[in-house]
Amino acid sequence: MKFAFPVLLATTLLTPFAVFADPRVDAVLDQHVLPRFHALTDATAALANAEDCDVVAEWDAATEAWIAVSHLRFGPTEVDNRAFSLAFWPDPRGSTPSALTTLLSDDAPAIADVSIAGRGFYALEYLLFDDAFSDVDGRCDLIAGLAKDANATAQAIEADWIDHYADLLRTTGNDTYRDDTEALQQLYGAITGGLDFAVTKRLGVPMGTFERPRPRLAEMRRSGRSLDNVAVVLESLEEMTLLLAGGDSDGVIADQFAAARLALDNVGEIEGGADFSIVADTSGRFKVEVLQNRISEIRTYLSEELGPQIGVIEGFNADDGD
Amino acid sequence: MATRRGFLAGLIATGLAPVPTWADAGNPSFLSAARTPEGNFVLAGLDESGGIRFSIPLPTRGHAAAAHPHRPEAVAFARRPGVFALVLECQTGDVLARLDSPEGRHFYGHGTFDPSGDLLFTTENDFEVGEGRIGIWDARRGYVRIGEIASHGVGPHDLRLMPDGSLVVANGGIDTHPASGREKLNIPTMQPNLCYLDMDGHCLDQVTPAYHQASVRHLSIRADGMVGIAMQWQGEVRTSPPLVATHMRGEAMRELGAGLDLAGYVGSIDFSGDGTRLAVTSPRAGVAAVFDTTSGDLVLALENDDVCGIAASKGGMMLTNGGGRVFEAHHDTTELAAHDLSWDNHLIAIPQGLT
Repeated sequence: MKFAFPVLLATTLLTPFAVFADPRVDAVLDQHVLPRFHALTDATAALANAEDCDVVAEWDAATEAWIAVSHLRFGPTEVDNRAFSLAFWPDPRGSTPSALTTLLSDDAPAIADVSIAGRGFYALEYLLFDDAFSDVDGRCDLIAGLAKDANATAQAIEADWIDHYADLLRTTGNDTYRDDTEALQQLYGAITGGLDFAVTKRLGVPMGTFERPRPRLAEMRRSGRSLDNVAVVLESLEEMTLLLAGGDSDGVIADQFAAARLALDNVGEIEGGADFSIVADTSGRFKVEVLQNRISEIRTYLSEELGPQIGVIEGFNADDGD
Repeated sequence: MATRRGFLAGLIATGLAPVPTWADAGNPSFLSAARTPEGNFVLAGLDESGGIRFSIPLPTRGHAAAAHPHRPEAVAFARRPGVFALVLECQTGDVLARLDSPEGRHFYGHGTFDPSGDLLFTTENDFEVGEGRIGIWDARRGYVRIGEIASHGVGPHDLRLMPDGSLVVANGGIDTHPASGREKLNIPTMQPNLCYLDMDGHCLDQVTPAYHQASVRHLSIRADGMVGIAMQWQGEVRTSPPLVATHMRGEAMRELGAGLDLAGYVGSIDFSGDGTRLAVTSPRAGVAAVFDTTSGDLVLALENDDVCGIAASKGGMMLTNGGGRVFEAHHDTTELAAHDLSWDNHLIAIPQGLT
């Protein structure tokens, strides 16, 4: 473990050498990342082009398209806070309704100038489903404005992916990805990050503690999408995992996701499962906990099997973020 | 203060010291939290050769620690958003006291003693309003909380005592709330700063980094009052500005190196013993980088997987990584020891002199 570099880290560490892309990276880009961001552009365009403000179906489709890429939080989504402006959640201080009130006021600023809490799919959910906003003045115009704003953001993300970002991952040896391992690591981290977010936030936030469950903090409970979002996440992450693993010859990955899907269906069967209001009673809570455990098991499997298999070592400190 | 030091030193010299000293805990030079292979957590004392002098179990993952300047007492802080810290007797492993953050507060994982060892300062989040606080605890009376002052920013992370007795705090600028765990709530609008404070909580001086998404996180102080600053970039990695800086009160912040070389993320920072070098680690880049504090030039870059802990040692800089290894760095790195542990973020030097 002896490496000594003279001055100028940039030139010594970032040695460029052109290589052909790892086929797993190509597969993830061509069959998952690019088509799914394109689907987000399309779905938000349909939302933005709606004739009136009765857009529940369009919002639902666009939200689903977002949830399916919400684990891809690097590169184009992180420019100019694009991802935050599409999806500001969790919102522990309830910033979204107050930002919406600002946007509905007489001297409202431009949408792009307000707090990101007032933009995107979560803000639209309030306007579409929360009684407090059901017949306020300016609601229709604001729905249209937020829809156009979300579509512009989705277009910008997709354009960046197509213009240059996909190539950075395909042809490594650049400032962003020094080699294929770093590209694989980025994609692998998106999967584990997506699973972690599902466990600790989408499920963990409403679970709260046994003594104090927090069902009213459940993601998108107003529209009843809470459980559906987890289903979309699992479906999208399974797709990406299979592509990144380059197959699933023994069917272990599919089995793991199927077990989680079964646990998810068990939650969905109960009244109050769709919006996680069941976490407030013991038996319902137990079913959500089982779902949480099944997803954690996928996470463990990935770090023990898939990570090492594709040459990714998870760093205790590198992943800490403190 | 000099009187008190002299008094204690005198007592210790006569062998009549009524209290144990760091020598009784095996004379460790450093503290570090770690994870065991079984997934448990400990606070360990390390010597200059990388050997473990003691290892005390912690109930949850630790972050940084604070070493009492005289007594073999270490305060182990739970990782953010932790609500407790344990004061450990390092000779016996006993828990001497437990600090619980007050209602509506959590710790960030860092704290520091004043030079006398009488007071302990902790960085805290007043999370309903999203404002930083510094808690003050009386180490003479069982670490009872005696007050708090504003940190003059959001998300105070590391804090240090300045040579003149004031405090300097790294207000990272990132708003979090325990209801959403470690989720960052204000990246688009975050405003980090470095604030110098007197003990009454007045902000004497405040500087902000050139880019508002450069979160000021960790600090090291040189004897003349120069502050070494380590930042973490919250934007897209490839757009990262420089993330290492030095600052002298009344002057502008001076940036060192390139943020991209450090993968947009600096984990730990420390000045060398003689103050001529400032060393940082980036576990994400797998690099330790050493800067000349006079010229500002990068003089050494050492590759080391998941390296994070760093502290000045007698022979240069001591490094620890997530693979359990301990290194010493001069012109290159020499592995001193390998333990079956994952060393956590920070290697904390135990004040030498009276021990």
